Amino acid sequence: MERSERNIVSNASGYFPHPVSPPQSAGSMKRRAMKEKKTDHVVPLKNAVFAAFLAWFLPGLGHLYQGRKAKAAIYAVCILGLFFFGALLASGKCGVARCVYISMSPGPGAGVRYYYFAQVWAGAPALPALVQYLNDPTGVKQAANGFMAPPMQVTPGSRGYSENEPSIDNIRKKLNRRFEIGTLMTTMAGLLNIFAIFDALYGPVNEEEEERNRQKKLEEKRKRQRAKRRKGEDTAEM
Amino acid sequence: MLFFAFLRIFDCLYAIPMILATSLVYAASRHENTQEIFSQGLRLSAWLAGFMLLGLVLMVVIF
Repeated sequence: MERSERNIVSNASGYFPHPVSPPQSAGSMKRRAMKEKKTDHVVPLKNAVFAAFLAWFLPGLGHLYQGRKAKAAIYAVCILGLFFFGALLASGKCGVARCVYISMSPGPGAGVRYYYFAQVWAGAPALPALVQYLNDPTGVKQAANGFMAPPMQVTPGSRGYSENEPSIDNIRKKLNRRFEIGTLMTTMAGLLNIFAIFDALYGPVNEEEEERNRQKKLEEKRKRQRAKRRKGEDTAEM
Repeated sequence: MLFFAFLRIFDCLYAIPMILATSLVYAASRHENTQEIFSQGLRLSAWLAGFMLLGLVLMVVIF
């Protein structure tokens, strides 16, 4: 066989010329195995960046795209459930989901709302607040029944202030502790979605350990089957 | 007064969905197997609830 023929090997998907790599040292093989271990996922991540974007846009959607249906359901139920429950708690006569809003005006009034930087990680459910802010930053219009709209930038004692206006003080007074609990829940939902985004991007943290456990269980099962078979053969011989 | 204080304890029930969601999402980010996710999630939620209860008891005793 000529040298050129020897360097052509078959592939599972068909035959094509593929140069055979020269013999490698044990060290380089080990390094290569380690590199492969780092990049090869047991879980199929497909296009991981796109999956991460989907996971941000709607919790669970990225995992659904990757075919990890059970995890998609867990993330969707936990994160979206927490977000909507919190938003529902902070709803009342003064408007809907009043705990999710953007306010960037320092000083008296609504002040700067830092919670939104965490809430926005929940994705699409928190985006109406951005639309409301871009539409009306001072909260004068209170469009869509004040749904995620910024509170009106007035303070008690200022000109044109009344008890019925959706200022931050009145909203807090009407919603009481439900405003705080709603804020906490929606913020937590946003922060928890960061876990889901990283999971869609890199796979589960204990992936290798889980795979090792699975292999161990399989090995134990095989051992048990072998022992059973041996026992059966022994009794047949007797 | 004590009656109203007792009623406010029911506010702690809002912590249940938060504890469950946190522990399940955390467990889901560590494992791929559903059974392992639920077992670690429930274990973690029990730890969190226990820790919070301990904090509550300490606060009741101190104040």
